[in-house]
Amino acid sequence: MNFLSVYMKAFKISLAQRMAYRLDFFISAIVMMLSDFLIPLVSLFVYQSGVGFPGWSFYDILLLQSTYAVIKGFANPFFASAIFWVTFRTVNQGSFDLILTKPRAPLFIVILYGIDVEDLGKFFGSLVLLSYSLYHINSISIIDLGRYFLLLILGIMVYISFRLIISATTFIWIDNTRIYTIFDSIISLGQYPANIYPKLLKNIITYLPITMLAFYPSSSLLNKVTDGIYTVIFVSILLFVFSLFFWNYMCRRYASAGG
Amino acid sequence: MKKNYKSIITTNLYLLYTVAFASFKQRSAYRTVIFVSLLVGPVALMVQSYIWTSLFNDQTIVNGLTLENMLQYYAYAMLIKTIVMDNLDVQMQMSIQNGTLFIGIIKPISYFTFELYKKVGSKILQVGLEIIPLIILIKILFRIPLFPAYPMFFLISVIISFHLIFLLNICVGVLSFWIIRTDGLRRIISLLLLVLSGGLLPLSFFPMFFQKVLFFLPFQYILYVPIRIAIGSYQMGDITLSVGKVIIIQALVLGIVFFITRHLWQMGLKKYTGVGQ
Repeated sequence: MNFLSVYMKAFKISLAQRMAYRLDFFISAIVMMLSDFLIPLVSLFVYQSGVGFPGWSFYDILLLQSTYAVIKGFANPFFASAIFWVTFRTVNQGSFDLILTKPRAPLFIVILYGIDVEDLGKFFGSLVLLSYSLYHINSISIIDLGRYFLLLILGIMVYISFRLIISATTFIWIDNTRIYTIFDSIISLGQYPANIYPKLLKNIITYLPITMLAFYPSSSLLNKVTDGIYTVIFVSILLFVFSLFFWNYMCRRYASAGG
Repeated sequence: MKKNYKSIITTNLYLLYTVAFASFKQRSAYRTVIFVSLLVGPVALMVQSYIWTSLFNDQTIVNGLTLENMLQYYAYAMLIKTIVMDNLDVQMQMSIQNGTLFIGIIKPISYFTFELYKKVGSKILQVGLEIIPLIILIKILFRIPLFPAYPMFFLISVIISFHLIFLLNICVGVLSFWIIRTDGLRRIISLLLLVLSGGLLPLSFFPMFFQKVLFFLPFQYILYVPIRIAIGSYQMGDITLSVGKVIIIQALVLGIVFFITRHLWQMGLKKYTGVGQ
């Protein structure tokens, strides 16, 4: 079986398991979807109060925040949640050995074990938001949209890279959930326009590249200034390659002792 | 009779000390968890400070709050959340589901009292290791004045909020007596708590209609009320109240929630079999 058909089978199993408690599953998925609306709702109330981010209308901000939500909403249920939580759980329990015995790449098995169907609610919620914001933006050409979706894919890759790097540290530090928490609060900087931050911080998040999680894709669609975008694209690809290499390298240092 | 009261108070104080100390020791095994929030807190506040500085731009007051008030608001929200929040709903859900709740019930101390004293113990540790260093860090990094406008009223309000969230979480946990999986329901309530308590945005930013409805719900009394008391004024929709009056209403809400919680708990216990699922 190829990777895709194995993945589809694992997805179906995960869905069937969660469907054992249908009502709870649907409530959870709806809540996940609604939670995506929180930050945009805050932005709406703030803009209704007569203030706003200079140079960004409410619909511009909505596009930026829905882009961030789509990237997380797509990456988490299909790959990112699994990469972090399955690695953490199995390394912590010392049961990662079981993953290593499977006849596929360990990273692929980790992803299969942790498909989070409940989180799909967030993905659908973010798509609703994105469609709504795109509807309110004037004159978008097909080329603009194509460029936007390419940057969106890069954003997803950057998000997965962050999760790969953090989860790779589990192999030595065992209980690293705190790093996850810290990093989550750092990448939340990405759901606001980069130009509100001081120059030094702006430069750091640009080349980290947290700005690929929302700022660059939405700025390119809104025809706003996107200085240094090619460098950021290059850094994003490099980060993805590095994170894959790093995860596999750290995986070889797994000691099976648990924590 | 007098002697009886004295003995009850002494016994309870001893119980509080014993349970709280055990919880304190249990919690202190995870000190790194506490220390990390010393990093997470300032980062979150830094984000808020950049956001609101940019939003205020050339305005001095928005919805009755200055930029300094806004930063105070988020700093107080962070500190109060750390002091009052607990996860008793999750614990109760698990112990009802796996049938271990009976261990708590058969103890020679009421389940509620035991859990409350446990919370007190773990929060004392958090105040020492987390809240005080956080206040110092906020003061140094952001230069935000963090001395409440009405210290005594603020303290009373936080204590009421501490008990209110404790009771609300019991109400949510108790639902497991009737529903097998309450994860979804718990998520809804957590979401409502976050938004409607003012944890995400001051409630004075909400549309007027919402503010009027929110006044009659218990959520604002968890965060919004203590924060506004700390800042020095209470305003919600077109209602402006003195700090003393708000605290009386907050205490009344606590009484109502206590009555509902007790009733729900007794109803649930009748249904409980201890078998688990």
